[in-house]
Amino acid sequence: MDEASDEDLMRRVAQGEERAFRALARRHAARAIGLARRITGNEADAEEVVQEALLRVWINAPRWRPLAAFRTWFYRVVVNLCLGRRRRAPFLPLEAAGDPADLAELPGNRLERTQADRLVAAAIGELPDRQRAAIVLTYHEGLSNAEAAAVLETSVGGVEALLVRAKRALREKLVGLR
Amino acid sequence: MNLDEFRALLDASGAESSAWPHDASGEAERLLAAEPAARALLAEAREVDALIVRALRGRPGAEDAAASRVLAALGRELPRQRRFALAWPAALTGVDLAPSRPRLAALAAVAALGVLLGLFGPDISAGDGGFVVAAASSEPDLGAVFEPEPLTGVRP
Repeated sequence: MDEASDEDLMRRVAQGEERAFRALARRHAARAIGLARRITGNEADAEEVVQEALLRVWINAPRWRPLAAFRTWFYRVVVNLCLGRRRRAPFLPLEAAGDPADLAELPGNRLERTQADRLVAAAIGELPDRQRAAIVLTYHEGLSNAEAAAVLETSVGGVEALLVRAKRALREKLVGLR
Repeated sequence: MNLDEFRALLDASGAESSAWPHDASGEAERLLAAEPAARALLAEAREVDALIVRALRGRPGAEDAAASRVLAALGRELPRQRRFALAWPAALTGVDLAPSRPRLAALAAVAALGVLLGLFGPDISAGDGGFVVAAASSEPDLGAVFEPEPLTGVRP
């Protein structure tokens, strides 16, 4: 089961095979939560989004057609759910920077770096939703612009425009950090 | 390629030249070789890219606990799958309409505009082989000017 490709598993999910669905969910849940968390900025929202996305995969599996990689289709569902959700709380910096209590224990240069990471994460959090999604898909998920375009249901030029605007905004906010 | 275009390339495709579009790559490399300002832009883009990657990086395994909660919630009974009695014809199931959506939307908009113009547009009606122009009663009947000759049928 674990060696089967996503698309093979999805064909079996389309036949109503729960075991294949759970294998697929295990394979993608953590990564999808990371993606959703970076777009929504909220852990609770991210979990709800991914649970909803996985349920949609199960429910709509009989309609799935292997036109694109499963991951692209699944990410599209996750990103659409993230973008459609009104943000419940201000964007939270990622846990990469550590808890505030930990900061005092860090050596000087690492402390500076950690604070810089927090500032950058906050600046990313302030970007408009689709710009942030484009940044997360390309920089965190490592998708090419074409793959990100498929997830965001736009053209490659559309993704490039989002990235250009996002980077311009980040550069302005991060003056002095570099 | 000028410096502004190079900066746009860096913003759109990142500082790694392997990710640059093939058609822009050659010009960008030539600009880099010739312009110190372009090399400064590249260095700045590398720094920004590194900052973004670092800020988005999570603690290893940070999402595993959340994933376990989601999987546990899915461990309960799953809802019924959505199946349709009327499936797509086999010939259509492999057709991806997504790339054509903008063109289909444009076609639909033009068709809708045509219908609206037909319903509410200027009152131009075809009459008896020639156009009849609606005119105020005080104006000469211009329609008659374009009537064919009664005997020969020749139009003026």
